[in-house]
Amino acid sequence: MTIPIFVVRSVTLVPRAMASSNSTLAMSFSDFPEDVQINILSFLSPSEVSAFACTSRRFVALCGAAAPNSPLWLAICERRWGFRTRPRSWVSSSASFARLYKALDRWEHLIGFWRRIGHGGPGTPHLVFFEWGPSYIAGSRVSPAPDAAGGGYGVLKVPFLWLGLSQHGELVSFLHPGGRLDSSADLLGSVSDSSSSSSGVADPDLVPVSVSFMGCSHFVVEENRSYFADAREVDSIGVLEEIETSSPPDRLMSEIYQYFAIRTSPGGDKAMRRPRKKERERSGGRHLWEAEHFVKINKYYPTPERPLQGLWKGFSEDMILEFYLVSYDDIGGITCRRVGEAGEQFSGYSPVFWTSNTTFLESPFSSDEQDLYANREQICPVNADGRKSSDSSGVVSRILCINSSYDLVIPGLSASSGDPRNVEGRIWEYDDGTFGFGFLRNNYIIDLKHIAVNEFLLDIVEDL
Amino acid sequence: MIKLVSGDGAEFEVEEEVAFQSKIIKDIVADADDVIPLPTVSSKVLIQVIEYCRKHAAVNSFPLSPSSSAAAAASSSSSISYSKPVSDPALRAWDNEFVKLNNSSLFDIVIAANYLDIEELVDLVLETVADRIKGKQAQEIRRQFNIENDFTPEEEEALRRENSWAFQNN
Repeated sequence: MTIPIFVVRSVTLVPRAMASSNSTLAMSFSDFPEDVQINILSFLSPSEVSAFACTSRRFVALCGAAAPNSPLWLAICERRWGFRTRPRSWVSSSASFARLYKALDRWEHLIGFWRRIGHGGPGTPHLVFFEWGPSYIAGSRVSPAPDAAGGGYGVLKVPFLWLGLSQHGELVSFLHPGGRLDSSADLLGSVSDSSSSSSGVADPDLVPVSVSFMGCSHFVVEENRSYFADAREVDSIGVLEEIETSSPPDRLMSEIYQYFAIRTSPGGDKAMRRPRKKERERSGGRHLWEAEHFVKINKYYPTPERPLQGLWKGFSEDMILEFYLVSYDDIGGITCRRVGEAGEQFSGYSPVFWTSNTTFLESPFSSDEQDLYANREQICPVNADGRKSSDSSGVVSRILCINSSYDLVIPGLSASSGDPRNVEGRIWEYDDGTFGFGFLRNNYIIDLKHIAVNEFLLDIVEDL
Repeated sequence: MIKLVSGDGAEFEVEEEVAFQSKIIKDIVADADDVIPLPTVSSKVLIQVIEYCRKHAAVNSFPLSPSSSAAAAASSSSSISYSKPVSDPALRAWDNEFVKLNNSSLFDIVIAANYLDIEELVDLVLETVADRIKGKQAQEIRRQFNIENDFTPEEEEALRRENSWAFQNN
């Protein structure tokens, strides 16, 4: 008598699962279907997967990091980043998802706002915003839109930096130095083409770059002048790879050390030296891109404890849309600075107000305070038809006194500091969570709005 | 009401909204009658699964505020869909109590939840199993999960060295 094998299997599986409830024969992890095993293991970190892999031959194979298209490593990437991007789209046939994991584990720190430090080209915005694409991470320069675009509060977004994986699974980054494209689709389209052709760059304006982290909140974008020479070598971005493999506890220090070792030391690791040598060989070529440094703006959203914190936009007294960064310092003070004008002091930070006392006046307010607010003009964008847009701010819920501006610290920066009315002002917090501020020296209220909510920029104007 | 029959012949009457958390049962009911035999699920496990579904059906009948629609859109385009974590803290606490089981009982629920295709329960028990793997060395994992060590000692040593290098990432 012959019994088909699948029947035998199902018969043995059932009593076993049943028997275990009588705790006579304990069930093994190995009895789970493979998709269940993968689903379970996808909750683990790489080191935990590594420990699990050492349990048996079968699990070595299941957990292998080197295998292309490993279903486990795809599942790990999906679980961690599947809500934001499409891990499957990042990786072409020959690359491994374990490698993607390593890349995203590092690159996800890019998501959010960064500001450029040091000197940049003329007119280049100081604020950069990174966001997930389906198969890449894109960095865009962000600046107040000119004229009344986007309802007056438009934010101009110009993609300029793109990070992805090449066909061979190498980490690749390109940027468009001009930062002036007809649309973001052009940049991403041309980059996609170049990544599929593996060595060539379709758009001659695109510059291969390397993005090197120093810790999680500082990175440098440098022209990767060895890219074309090394395009077919596996370690074309040796410098970055070297940094990627350092372990987390001393990651920051070793990265900083490595970064400067590459720069200054004639000795050092051979793999790290190689790109430098190629660079020297090509030194006759023109520089397409000067290195730029960026630091992360970690706290760009308000929190219940820090309701004013974050990146804001509002119309200054001369009716120009400006970006403001409000931060809380360690000793309890609040600083508001203007972000993003080229060529001024403090690396693109222009101070607006500062206060050391963060205790709000609560409702009901004194009649003096009510008059102070009621007699003011809120600065609003002018619509295309010439009328001012209606006041959308809510009711004042709390008031904060500003007792100091940077006029005290740096005399002559804006108005004269002799009169205390120049430095005294108020912050009016509205019940919708936004706020406005103004000084006693004039009758204006500068209302601020969010630049981004939940990692999404608001009022984007993409076309120039 | 829907009647579920366990592998050992016990019958359970449950409301539709409770039973329909299982996609399999929902599909069966759509084109068959209301008595559903579940030969691979013991009555002990089925009692636990029904308890879970009752609790979640009761809580989920009060719709929570929808979370970010953008995240939902992103997940629907993803090739593998992972359900959102349970957001109600009271229900999460209840879930944490529910999975306080020994490995053997937990594994039974893993098999049953996977077979019945109850998405939230699958996520809950799989993550619980994963939590029990975390922070343990291979030998301890083998013991807890009844995995047979089929390596020679030399192979095992070589593997440990190789893996500690290959997985240095984290």
